[in-house]
Formats: sequence, C-alpha cells, structure tokens
Amino acid sequence: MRTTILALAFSSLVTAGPIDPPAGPVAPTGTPLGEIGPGTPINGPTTITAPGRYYLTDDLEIFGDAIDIASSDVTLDLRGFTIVGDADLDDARGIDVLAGATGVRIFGGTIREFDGDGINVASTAEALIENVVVRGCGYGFEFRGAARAVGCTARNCGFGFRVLGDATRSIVVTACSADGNGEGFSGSFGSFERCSATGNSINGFNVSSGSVTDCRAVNNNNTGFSLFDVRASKLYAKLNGLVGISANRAMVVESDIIESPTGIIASGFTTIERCHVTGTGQPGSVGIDANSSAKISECNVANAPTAIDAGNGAVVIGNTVSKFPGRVSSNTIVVGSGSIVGVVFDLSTGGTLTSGNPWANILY
Amino acid sequence: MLDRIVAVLAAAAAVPVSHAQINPPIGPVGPSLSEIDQIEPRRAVSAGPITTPGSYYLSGNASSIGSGVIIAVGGVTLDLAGFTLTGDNNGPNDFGIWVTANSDEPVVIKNGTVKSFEGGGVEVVNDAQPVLIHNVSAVRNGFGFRIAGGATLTDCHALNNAGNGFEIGDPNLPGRISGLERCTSTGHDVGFRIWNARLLACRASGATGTGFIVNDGTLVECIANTNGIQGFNGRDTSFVACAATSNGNVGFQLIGGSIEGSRTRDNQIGFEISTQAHARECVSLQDTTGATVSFSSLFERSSVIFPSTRGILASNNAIVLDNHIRVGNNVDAITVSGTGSVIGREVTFSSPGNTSYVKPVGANLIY
Repeated sequence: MRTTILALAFSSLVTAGPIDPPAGPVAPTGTPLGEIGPGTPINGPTTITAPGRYYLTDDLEIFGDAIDIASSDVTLDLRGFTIVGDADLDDARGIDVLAGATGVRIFGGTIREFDGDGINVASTAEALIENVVVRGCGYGFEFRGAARAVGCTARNCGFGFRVLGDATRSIVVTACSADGNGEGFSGSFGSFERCSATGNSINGFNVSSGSVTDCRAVNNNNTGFSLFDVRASKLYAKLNGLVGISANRAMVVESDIIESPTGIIASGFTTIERCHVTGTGQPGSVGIDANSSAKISECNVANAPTAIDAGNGAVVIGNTVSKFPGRVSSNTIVVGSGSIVGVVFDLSTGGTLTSGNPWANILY
Repeated sequence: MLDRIVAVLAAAAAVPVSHAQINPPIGPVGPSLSEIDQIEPRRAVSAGPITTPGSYYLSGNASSIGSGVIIAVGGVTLDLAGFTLTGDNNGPNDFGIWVTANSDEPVVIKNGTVKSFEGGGVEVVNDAQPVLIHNVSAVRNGFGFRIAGGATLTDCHALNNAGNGFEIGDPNLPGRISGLERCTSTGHDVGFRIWNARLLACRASGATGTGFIVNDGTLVECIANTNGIQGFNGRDTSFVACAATSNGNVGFQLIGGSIEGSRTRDNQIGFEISTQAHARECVSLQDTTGATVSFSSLFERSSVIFPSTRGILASNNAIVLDNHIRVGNNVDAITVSGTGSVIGREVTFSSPGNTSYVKPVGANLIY
C-alpha cells in the first residue's frame, strides 16, 4: 500500500494540472492533520512501551488485559470505539496505566465487561482521562495515582469511580456521572466537582478525606452523599432511599436536600451551615439528625415532622423551621441530652421578630 | 476514500518543494506513512441511517429531504467536521440528527451545524445510552435539541428554532442526570426546558416565553436576559450565582429549592419564591418589585436596591430576615399580606451618616 501511495504522489507531481483554483469558497479537502497522526494503530492486546500517540482502529474484543501503558508521555485515542472484555475472567483490566507512567492521556471511547477495572491508574502513575464510558466492569475507574477524569461515565459497575489516593497525590474527578452502579463515587483523598450520581444501589457518593463541590445525587438506594472528613458545598440530593447527606467530621455548606426520609445526619463534630432541607412530609421523616457534637446553623428546614433532632452534644443555633399549615404541622426541634439549642421561638402565627438573640431558632 | 487519498497525496506532494535534506538517511528504508485505513479508520457519511457501530464523519456540507443522519445503534461517534446538515424544512418528523438507538453503548455527536429541519435539530429518543454532544449548533429547526436523560452537552448553541431551544431530560423521575455546560439559546418559545440536570454557564436570551424552565436541576453561573416572560422558572431546583436581566415578567420564579448569590435587574419581579423555597445572599437591582415571598419561603441576607414599586412582598407564612432594602420616595420597603409571615424588625435610616446602632437579630435595614 505504501509503495502505491508514493507512486501516485510522485506521478502527480510531474503531471501538469489546472492551476486555477475552483470557484467558490475554500472548503475542507481532507482529514485534519491533527487526526491523521502521526500515530500507531492498536488492534489487539497491547503493552505500550514507548512515548507517542496511539489509536484504536476498530472495536476490540479482548480475553485478558487489553491495553497496558508502561511508558510516559502516551496519548491513547479510543476514537469512539469500544474495548470489550470477558466478564468471567477474574481481575482483567481494560486499560492499565502502570506504575511510573506519567503524562498519559486517554480519551474518547468505551470500555466494558472487564471483571477488574475499566481504567486503572497505578499509584505512581499520572493520567488525564476524558470522555470515556465504562460499563459493566468490577470497577469503572480506579485511581491510585495522580489522575484527573473529565466528562467520563461509569454505568452498571460494582464501583463507578473509586479513588484511593493519599495526601501526596492529587486526584480530581470533574463533570463525571455514575449511573446504576453499586456505589457511584467512592474512596479517599479525591476532589469531586460537578459530578452526578443517580440510581446507584448503595450510595451516590461515599467519600473520605477530600472535597465534594457542586455535585448531585438523585435516587440512590441508600445515601446520596456519605462524607467523612470532607469539605462539601453546593450539593444537591433528592429522593435518596435513606439519607440525603450523612456527614461525619465534615463541613457541609450551602446545599439542598430534598425528599429523603432523613435529610442530613451530622455527627462527629461536623458543621452544617446554610443548607436547605425539605423532608418527605411522611411520619418519621427527619430534616436534620444532629449528634456527637455536630453544629447546625443557619439552615432552613421544611416538611419534616421532626425538623431538627439535636442529641448528644449537638449545637443547633440560628436555624429556621417551616410549619407550613396543611402539610406537616408538627415540625419541631427536639432537644436531646447534652445538646445546646438556641432558644426556639414559635412564630408560626406570624409577626415581627423582636428577639435580640443571635442563636435563636425560629419556627414560622 | 478519494478524499483521503487526496489528503495523503497533498501531504506527499508538499515534500519536494521544501528545501529539506536531499540525502537519504543511512540504513534500510523504513515505513514513513501510515496505511490509508490506519490514517482514517472512520467512515464518511452524508445523510441517511447509521446502523453499524463505529466512527463516522461528514465529508462535506450535506442536504437532506427527510431526516438527516439517523443513528439507529449505539456505539457511534459522528463528527460533523465543521460542516452543515441542511434540511428542506418540509416534514414535521424530519430531524437533522435523529438518534433512535436504544442501547447502552454511547453516542457522540460533535463539531457542526444542523439547520432547517422542520421536526427538530437533534433528537435523542432514549436515555439508555450515554450521549455526548459537543460543539453542535441547531439553527432554524422545529426545535433545537431534544435529548432524553443521561446526556452531556458542551458548547452547543440553539438559534432561532421554532419551538424550544433545548429540551433535556425526562419529566418522570428517576431519570438519568444530564449535564450542560456553556450552551446558549437565542430566540425560541423556551430557551431551556430541563428535567433532572445540572447546567453550568449557560445562557438564554430573547425567548418569547421563559429562558429556563427547570425541574430538579442545579444551575450555576447561568444567565437569562431579555426573555419575554421569566428568566428562570424552577421547581425543587438550586440556583447558584445566576443572573436574570430585563425579562418581561419575573427574574427568578422558584417553587421549592434555593437561590444563592444570584442577582436580578430590570424585571417586573426580581425573585418570586414560594412553597418552602429559600433565597439567600441575592441582589435585586431596579426591578419593579424586588421579591415576593410566600408559602413558608425564606428570603434572607439579600439586597433589594431601588425597586420602583415595592421592595419585598411577604405573604402566607413567609419569613424575611436580615435584608438590606434601598428605596426611593413613596416605595414600600416591605409589604405583608395574608397571615402567618415573620418579618425581621424594620430598621430605617432616613439620612446618611455614621451610626452606633446595633442591628437587632434578623433586622431588615431600610435606607
């Protein structure tokens, strides 16, 4: 083939053709250079051992590990194709970024049906992963090294995104979604931003020692956001099966929690500020369950028979609780043993707030 | 195929005219070009159905009688390559790109324009597959984009389509969450009609109706201006750092959910919140009425600047605390109607100057 192309090329040089350009505006004449290459095609199980650009030429069905990246400075373009594994082969991986491989970029395709990881980034590797869909794998994306995932999706995996970092490595997951997995986003020492988890059979997010910002969890069977030692803001949780946000040793601010049986469980010195909780309105619904020295302040709670249940050393100050007539009229703040609760003013019949107490909680 | 060969020839032909080293390198001749099918493993497509998974690209502008490209299977990437698919504007069931696949394999559509399809620009019928749409414009179609859930749209633009700009998601929860970033709608009945999605940095302008109608959404840094009725209309939705300017009726109308750090200007009503909604740290500037707060909603720590008729109207168990209200002559700062509302003490300063006054808890400062 190569010889034929070269022969055609040189023959065209010695043939005098028309020199006048065609009429009309300039239009594309071929494939953009950026898509031509240079590059190395991959059409089977591969271990990449040299820097460069690689790309799939078709869908691949692989029995075993599909692509191992052992070199740094590798770009792997999946070109919209799919790598299919054998779900019966234990621990096989779709793409494995091996230890020490840095400057790796993977983008634009699908990986499915590997018993192990769809994409794994080893602990001393560094990778950027964009617009990749993983489904039906044991772990969709498992990051132990410095990784960033952007615009990726995990569906129907055991774990969607699993982050296992430590204080020395930055792992960031941005604008990704996890649908229908066992657990959507999980792990420690990761930053999750603008991510969405829906319909996962356990938790939407189960995260420790990291940050969760501007993320959504809807219709997960257990908890929308389960947070330990996490700084979280601008969360949106709706219709999760048990709890909207469960936070331990965490800080959660400026978030909306809607229609879960328990909106927020706050424990272990957690701080909850400026959140808006709407309960289910059903008997037993709790807006915020605070204990173990959690602090709840400046939150607004509505439509829960128990708006705030303050127990075991919780601090509850400066909150507002709606007693909307005709829906749930028994909204209340429960003051449990050892808790500190600002004075509760019941102003549900209306009027002017005249209290000078900044810690007062207001029923309206 | 011909185009691809031409591309290779062009690249090869460029070699002799450059003043490069003319001596061949030492050693055996090695491969210097990729095979044709390696260079371009994708398949060219113009209009018609795609029934086999794979990667496709548009090789030039294309016209269509009927729908343009119909993607009937998952696992398809369609690159419009900067070209335009144009319909004949004659067929209510004709779509520029019509994804009928019901698969769990993803569909990717990118880099081009669809216009003049009477049915609509881009329609994705099912939410089974993840859908990624990037850098696609829909112009003068029946609607712009109608996408079932689980889709990601980035840098997409709807311009002057006959119906709505974007219709995203499934009204029946639980649906899959969609994400839109940096998308714009200009014209239309409704700019964005959204269920269960998060939007970042999107903009709706010039709709005859409402800029954004959103159920169960999260909107961050979005803008609605010069829409005929409302800028934003939300239910159980979170708005963060959004802005509504010069809309015909309401800047933000919200039933349930929250609005934070957002601003309005030159609307009839800046913020209209009801049914246990919550607005905080917002700014209304020069709206006719700054805010209406009703049915157990909370409006707090916000500023209402120079409303032309009324600052805040509170009714039916509303609660209004810790706001700053700057009003001109003969304009009510806070009006209470109905029963059960709680209003922080109104503290009025009628003339400027330093004060040692200690603000009571929850007080609304009027000046």
